[in-house]
Amino acid sequence: MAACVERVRQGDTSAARLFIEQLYPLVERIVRAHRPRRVEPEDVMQDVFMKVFAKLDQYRGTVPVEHWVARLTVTTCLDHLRAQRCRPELRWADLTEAEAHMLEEMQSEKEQAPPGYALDAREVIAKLLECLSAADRLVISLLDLEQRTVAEIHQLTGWSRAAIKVRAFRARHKLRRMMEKLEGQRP
Amino acid sequence: MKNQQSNWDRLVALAQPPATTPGAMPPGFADRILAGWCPGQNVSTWQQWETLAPRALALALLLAAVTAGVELTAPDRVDRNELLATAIMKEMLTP
Repeated sequence: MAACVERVRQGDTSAARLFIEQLYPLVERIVRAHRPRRVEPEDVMQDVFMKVFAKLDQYRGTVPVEHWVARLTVTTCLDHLRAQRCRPELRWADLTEAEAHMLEEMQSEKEQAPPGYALDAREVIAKLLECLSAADRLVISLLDLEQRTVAEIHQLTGWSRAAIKVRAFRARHKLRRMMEKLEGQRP
Repeated sequence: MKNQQSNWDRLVALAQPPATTPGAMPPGFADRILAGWCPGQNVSTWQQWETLAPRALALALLLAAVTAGVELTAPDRVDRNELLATAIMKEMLTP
């Protein structure tokens, strides 16, 4: 990959094409997980690759190029998330019938909600996360949904470990309050 | 409080993010990136121009329209520059 980067820097178009092809799966995975829901993933991916080529001269080679691109992808997603307005709150009335039923089942005494609710749970999570700020949303997605470690998030975002922990703590507190409020609106 | 925390955890567990299989690159994707890539030049300049050009044009049209409006309707004894500045500020601050 390092040789490919060097060839791209020298203006080799075929190397640039190979570079895009090799990095595309990595960029796509991050973008699909962290883009705003109303933004087309392809637009964000295009934005990422434009930035990669524009900033390639700034890549010093101290970390693998995949790490450098992953970080650039995460910060680009964060920029797109910041551009979106936060949902003011999630109300019970905003839930679809299936989502409401899933929450009712989940909050009942049953150990496990019946299978087949994964899609509804993902939708509710997405709606709850839309109520958080861009950075809170990113940190919760990385920590809770992708099960990344604090060290990995530090590497991806450049935020300090303490800042990540504090942000996650506060974001989870907000989510708890939102879920309490949602539960309180249950008919 | 603890119960609500576990509700979030249960919701996350229930969601079980699907194993992501990388999708195929859309046709023409690399071509679109490479079309804007000028080796040895800063691509972002091109990209910035593409983004800024419509805004610059919109601003120029706004300025022309407001200037024409002020010229046509301003009373004689009013400072036209001041009126123009106020009109532009109002126009730009109105969502």
